[in-house]
Amino acid sequence: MIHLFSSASDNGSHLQVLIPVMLICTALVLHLIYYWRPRICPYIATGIISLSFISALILLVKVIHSPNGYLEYFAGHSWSGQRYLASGQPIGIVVRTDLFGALIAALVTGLGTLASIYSKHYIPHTIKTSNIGYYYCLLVLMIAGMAGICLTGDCFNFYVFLEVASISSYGLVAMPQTKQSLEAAFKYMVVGALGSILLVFGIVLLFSATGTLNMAYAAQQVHKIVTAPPGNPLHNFRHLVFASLGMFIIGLSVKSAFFPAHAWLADAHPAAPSSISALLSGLMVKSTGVFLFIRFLFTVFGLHKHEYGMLLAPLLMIIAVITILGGSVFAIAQNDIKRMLAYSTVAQMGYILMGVSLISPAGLEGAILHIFNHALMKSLLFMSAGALIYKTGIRDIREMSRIGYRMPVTMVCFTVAAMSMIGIPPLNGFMSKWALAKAALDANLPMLVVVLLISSLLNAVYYFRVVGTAFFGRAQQHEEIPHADIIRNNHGHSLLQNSYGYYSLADKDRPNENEQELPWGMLMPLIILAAAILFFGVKVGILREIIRPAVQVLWR
Amino acid sequence: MNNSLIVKVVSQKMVPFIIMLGASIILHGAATPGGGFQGGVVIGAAYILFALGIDAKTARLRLPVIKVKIVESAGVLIYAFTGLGGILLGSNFLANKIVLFPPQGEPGGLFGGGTLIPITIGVGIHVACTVASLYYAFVEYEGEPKPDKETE
Repeated sequence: MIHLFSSASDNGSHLQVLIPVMLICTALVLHLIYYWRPRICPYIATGIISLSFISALILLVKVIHSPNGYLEYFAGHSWSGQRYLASGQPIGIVVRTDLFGALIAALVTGLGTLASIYSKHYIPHTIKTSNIGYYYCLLVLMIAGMAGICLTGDCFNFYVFLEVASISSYGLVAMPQTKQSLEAAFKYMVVGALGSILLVFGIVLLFSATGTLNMAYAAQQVHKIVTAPPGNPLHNFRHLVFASLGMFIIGLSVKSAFFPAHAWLADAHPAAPSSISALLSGLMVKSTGVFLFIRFLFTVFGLHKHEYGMLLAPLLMIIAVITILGGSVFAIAQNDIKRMLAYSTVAQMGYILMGVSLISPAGLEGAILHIFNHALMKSLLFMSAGALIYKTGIRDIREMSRIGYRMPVTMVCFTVAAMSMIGIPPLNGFMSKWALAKAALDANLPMLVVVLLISSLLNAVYYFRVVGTAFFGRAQQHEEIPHADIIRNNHGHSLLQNSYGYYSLADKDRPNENEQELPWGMLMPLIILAAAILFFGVKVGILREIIRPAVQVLWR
Repeated sequence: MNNSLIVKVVSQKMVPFIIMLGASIILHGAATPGGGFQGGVVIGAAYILFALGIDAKTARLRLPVIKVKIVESAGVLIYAFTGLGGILLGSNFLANKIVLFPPQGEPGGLFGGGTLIPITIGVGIHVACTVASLYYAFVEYEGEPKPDKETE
């Protein structure tokens, strides 16, 4: 039992591989379990994801106490064997988890646990009964992929996990099988595949330049190539390195929905079931997008060490500013609540990119803090919006007047997250915006602070619109939606089609109409997330204690 | 489908030979070009030939979808448990040359790969079943019963 937690001969832990392996194994059995015992399927999914959460927390503690700030695990090696070639190149796949990766892995599995708890009541009303087994299978696979990305230290290994996560998310977006979700899933798949192809191309170029797939060793080689003087044979490889860097930047920009590649996000995230929207917006664009962006730009390509960092910084900054302002302005124009939240995600990705583009430890700290905080806030927003849709069938913000009196707990949770998103002091959104603004001032770029303030104002415009309508809106009678076609969905419930083409359950078929609030299983994740937002706002020091050394490891 | 006797008989008679070719590619995966994926595709193609020769419904009776799914998952589990065997025997994940089964042979020989043999078998099984279930998915697609009245 002892060697389950630490591998005997390395500075590593078996948990680094066990977390993805146990999730993938369970996922592949889950849809078979659903075939015979549909009742226990959600419990098994929740159980295995929470087990991986506990493992990720243990791993995080181990990484914090490790002397170097990272753990290295040599997969496929026995007790005593050669670990490195004479040139210092590691043999085989090295699973290397640093503090940044361990933190995001804990976040991924933690939010995954909450989403799967939330799914138990929510999902049977959204997708076909025969697909529920596949839903849990894909959910667990997606979390396995995202956790694997965070834990690995090998270029091709991360690509495999990225595809595991992406392909399961395409399936999950298509799950409701309405016209919108199928169309959105197809768009998402095409754009996502484009991003993936660019990433493979980048990996190929990096491999041909450096001769290795190990990130840490590739970083050393890149450093040698870039600093080689003209005349040195290594000098000729620098074009390959630059091309590879370009491929990674473009591919990961597509994956993390930076302007101008943001359009797929605004379709895919609203069309998915709400539990999945929460994971896509909260985690997917971060672990497959911004996380890898930071990992490659800093760990592998050493943007802070080389002159091309100084060339790229203004470009990234311009993209960040356009993404921030564009996302916020588009969000104001939306009437569909989930679409509004999706555009808000685009704007927030711009904040993170802005922190990265400062190329300073403080900026990176702010960016990582915002990755963490935004994941909590946006998951809560999507889950509570999903709860509104589940209970009332209303997606349009204009029809939401006085909904706060019908579902007080849900709307209070929504309000907490919205306030945090705007940046009201005791909540965690303020803390990361503060860190970003301070980093921008340190870098002597006050215009970025102005952009942050304008964007916060725009955030306030569209979030207070929802909160204001929900609590203080004019009381209006519930009118029949004009031109609503009453049709039957797969469960035989009547569906109303509103003017946006989305379907909602007709009054008589809404689940538990007598009960005003949500079932306890759906309410619990909302309350936990709202508490976490408050906690990490007040006790931001805990996060800083982890993030500061994480940035130091990235900055080496 | 046309009931051509020649097609029917030849496709049935070819199946065992194609499966043997696939199995050979899988088992020699550690030593020669090819491996689990390639051999698995060959075996899956044998199934498709079999199902095209007779009609899809009869083929489905011979090999129900749920059985395909069970074997498919089992393939992955073989891989994963081979890896976990390394940890249970006190070494790292997927460690080779420490597991007592399969017998350790000469490098380059049939058993020279050590734990690669169960791994390629697992991959082969999984890929064969995936190809078969892809065939099911395409043949049996009947369009979605969508709650959609709009005509666009």
